[in-house]
Amino acid sequence: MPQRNPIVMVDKILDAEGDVAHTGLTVTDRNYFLEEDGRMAEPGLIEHIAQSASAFKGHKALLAGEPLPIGYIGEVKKFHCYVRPAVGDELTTTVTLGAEVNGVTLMTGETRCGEVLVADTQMKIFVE
Amino acid sequence: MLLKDKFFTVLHEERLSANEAIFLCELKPDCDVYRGHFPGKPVSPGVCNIEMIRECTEMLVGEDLQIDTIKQCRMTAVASPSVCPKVDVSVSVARLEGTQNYNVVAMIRDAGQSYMELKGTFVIKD
Amino acid sequence: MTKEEIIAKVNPLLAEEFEVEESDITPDAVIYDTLELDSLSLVDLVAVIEHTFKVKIPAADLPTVKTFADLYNYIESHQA
Repeated sequence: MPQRNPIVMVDKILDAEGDVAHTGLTVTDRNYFLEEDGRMAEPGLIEHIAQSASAFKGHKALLAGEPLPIGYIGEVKKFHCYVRPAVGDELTTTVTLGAEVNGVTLMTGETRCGEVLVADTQMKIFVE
Repeated sequence: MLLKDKFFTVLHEERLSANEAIFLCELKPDCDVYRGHFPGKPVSPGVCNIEMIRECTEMLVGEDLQIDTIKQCRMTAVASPSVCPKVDVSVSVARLEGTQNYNVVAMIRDAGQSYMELKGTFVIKD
Repeated sequence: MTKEEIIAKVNPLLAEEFEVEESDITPDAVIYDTLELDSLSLVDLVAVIEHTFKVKIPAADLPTVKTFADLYNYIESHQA
């Protein structure tokens, strides 16, 4: 993905198979959405999940020899933030790609820190 | 606040009631977020618009708020400092009796069109 | 699944997903108008059908599915 600093919110794709991928992000003190209390603001979690899906899409495009897509969030639905992660937390996110119509992809994302559920959401991303 | 005076500045605040206000905001074209989003093609990130709504809601109610749930948030048009240098962020809240929660309905728009519509629940931080 | 079973299953799901009255969903009603579909929510419709009936509606087939009757027919003829 052509996502560059300052808001890179995915460190790596841990694995990807079929329509499911796992991604990782370590929260550092340079995180764009870090608040004064040392925790990440909720929109950062949304961006992390969106970029996870975009990275996964980009990964698929690379494997297929296609150009890297640009992704936008079209809709966030049923987002729930259970806890705001803190500096040093290692987040693992499961993204599942669903139905796709005319460039709009439905996806679900679930972010955990260890066993603790941090956030989950449905999202629609535009890819062009 | 994370993005106030960095991603946006509040030019004017119109209080319609204790639970409703419209914030006229300027999107700052020099914000560092546009270096990456996207190089040579500035587009206001949807999540920054969500954060702008959270910060406007904090100003409305005078509390620090955390987004608990977003029932639905639609990005209805692409926003950027060149497309919409000034936008109205309208926020209306309803405190849920006996809780620390506010139901929030918010919209970002200008005279021409709407850019974001959000419905959710924000909770007062401990 | 018979068409009656399909209708009995899909109508409540659509009413819930798109927040409309089930009584508004009639065979002759136009899906796009009744459910107020746009480019974003169209994918919700496709996802509900795919998830419930394991029937994928490719983008190329969407223009042929105009009314709810069209949808029921499509599901009936494409189900596994």
